[in-house]
Amino acid sequence: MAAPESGDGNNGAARMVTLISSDNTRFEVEAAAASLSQTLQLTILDGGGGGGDGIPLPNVDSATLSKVLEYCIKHAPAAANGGAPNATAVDRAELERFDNEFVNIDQSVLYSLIMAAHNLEIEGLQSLVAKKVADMIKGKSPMEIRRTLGFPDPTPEEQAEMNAHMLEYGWAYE
Amino acid sequence: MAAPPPSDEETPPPVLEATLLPRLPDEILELIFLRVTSYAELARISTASTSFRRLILAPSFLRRHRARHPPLLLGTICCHFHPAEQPHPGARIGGSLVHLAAFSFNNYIPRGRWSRWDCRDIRDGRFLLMCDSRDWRRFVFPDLAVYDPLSKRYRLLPLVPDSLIASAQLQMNKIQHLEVLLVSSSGHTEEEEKSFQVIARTHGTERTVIFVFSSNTGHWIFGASIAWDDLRAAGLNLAPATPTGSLSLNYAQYDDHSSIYWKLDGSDNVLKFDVNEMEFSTMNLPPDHTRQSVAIFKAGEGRLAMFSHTPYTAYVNHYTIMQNGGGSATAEWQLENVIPLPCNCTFIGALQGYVFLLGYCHSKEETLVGMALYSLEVKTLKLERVHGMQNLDHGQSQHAYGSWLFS
Repeated sequence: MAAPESGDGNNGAARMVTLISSDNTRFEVEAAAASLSQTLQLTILDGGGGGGDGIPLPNVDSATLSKVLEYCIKHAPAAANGGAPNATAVDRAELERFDNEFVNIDQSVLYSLIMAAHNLEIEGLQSLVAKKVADMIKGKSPMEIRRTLGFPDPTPEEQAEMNAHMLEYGWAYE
Repeated sequence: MAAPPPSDEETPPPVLEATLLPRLPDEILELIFLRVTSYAELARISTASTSFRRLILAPSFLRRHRARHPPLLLGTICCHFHPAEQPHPGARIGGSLVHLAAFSFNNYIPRGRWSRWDCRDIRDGRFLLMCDSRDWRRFVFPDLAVYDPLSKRYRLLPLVPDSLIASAQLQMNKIQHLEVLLVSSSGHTEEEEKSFQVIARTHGTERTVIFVFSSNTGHWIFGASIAWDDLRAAGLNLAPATPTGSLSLNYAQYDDHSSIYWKLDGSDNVLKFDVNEMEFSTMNLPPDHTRQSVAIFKAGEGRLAMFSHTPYTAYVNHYTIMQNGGGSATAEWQLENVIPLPCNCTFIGALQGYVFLLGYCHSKEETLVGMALYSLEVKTLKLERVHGMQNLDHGQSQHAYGSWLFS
């Protein structure tokens, strides 16, 4: 990527950008990896994020951002290949293994991650976490589903309404 | 039907964990629910919270979910609903629909001019019903209705106006029978999604004529007309006409909201009606297809898929072809697979993404010991037994009923 000035002077190396988390931690990362985010891509194309400037991300804390960047760095080469028609089966299997392990994390981290992926518009990461959460609620009772998705227990009125719908969908509970 | 397990009193909730988690916003919940593949699962989620229910039943969500997941085959309709049987994946839901939905449509819609309504087609969970005079000597346009068994809502169609019949230069005494098909709109908005078209094809001694009803306008219009002699003049190698002078067309197959295909009996050709352009054309089949039944589907990436079957044999040939505008002779059908069947079968129909076969199970002594309906999924080529068949059902037209539910 031939930017007029290449970040903090790593001549010949890939262009770097700096991202700043909500708790003011600075992350230096290759522009290609950060560009997996649709939101960041435009700023980066405009030459933003280089040098001492950095791009502030007021909605993402450092723990979440470091996890997001771990994903982006791993997926950037395949994304650069345009979905990687020439990726080998080995490469694809390795990415799949990485993905499976990557979402094998605490639920609260998972939720911060999907919110960040949504804000930053990182499609692959959104999809990966959404699939993981969909698997987590599989086979659970309605009350467990609520709790898993961070919803407080229902009021008596809501409970009554839910009970009526449960009878309507009796087949779903057999 | 067992009531769902009441779960709030018994299990002490992991309160701490639950209250620490952020409540996920709607757009994130949608991303998650879109990836739920099981319909039972989606139904359970919709009963967990009023906000989940609102999200899941929103037409915009259902459209996106449908675009990702095929309908679930639940059973078939001839004179009654026959649910899929275990271990078919639609068996549980299909079984409970017997009680839930109003499949006995004759109880729910007013009588037509003659005795009873019969189901003639099913598409997107809606039935196309017909009530006809059953008078073989004199053709009369039947009453038609479109009915949704889940909502019990119906719409009676107006008659095809005499002026329209006259303008199509169609003489009633030359019509032998009428075939009707339901075509759903492939629209992207809620309005477009609920709209439908009914294709009525008159089959006569000299020609076949199509009239099209649109739910949006509420009117019938002339679709297209083609004379048997024109097909012969176009050089098609057609079988001799029946004693009455008409050609025999095999049942129609259509899948993609835009084209309907009829196999021309005794020939290597199909007759195609383009619903958007409102015109007929013909398409060549591979050689030696005079006796075969075929079902044609859109296969993605500009290809068509065709399933071709010789009646009373135990295999299906799967072909594909590159689709091109004018149906030119350059593209050739490619044989992709030969799919073995568990017994000798006949084709009996197709529904969004499935071909249906009636299987005849014979004993070693070659006596018929039972019949069963099989579905072949177009995308995965997966063959599944839907349900057994009574001898009684044999010979009556069967219509597969599948649904995305929540429609």
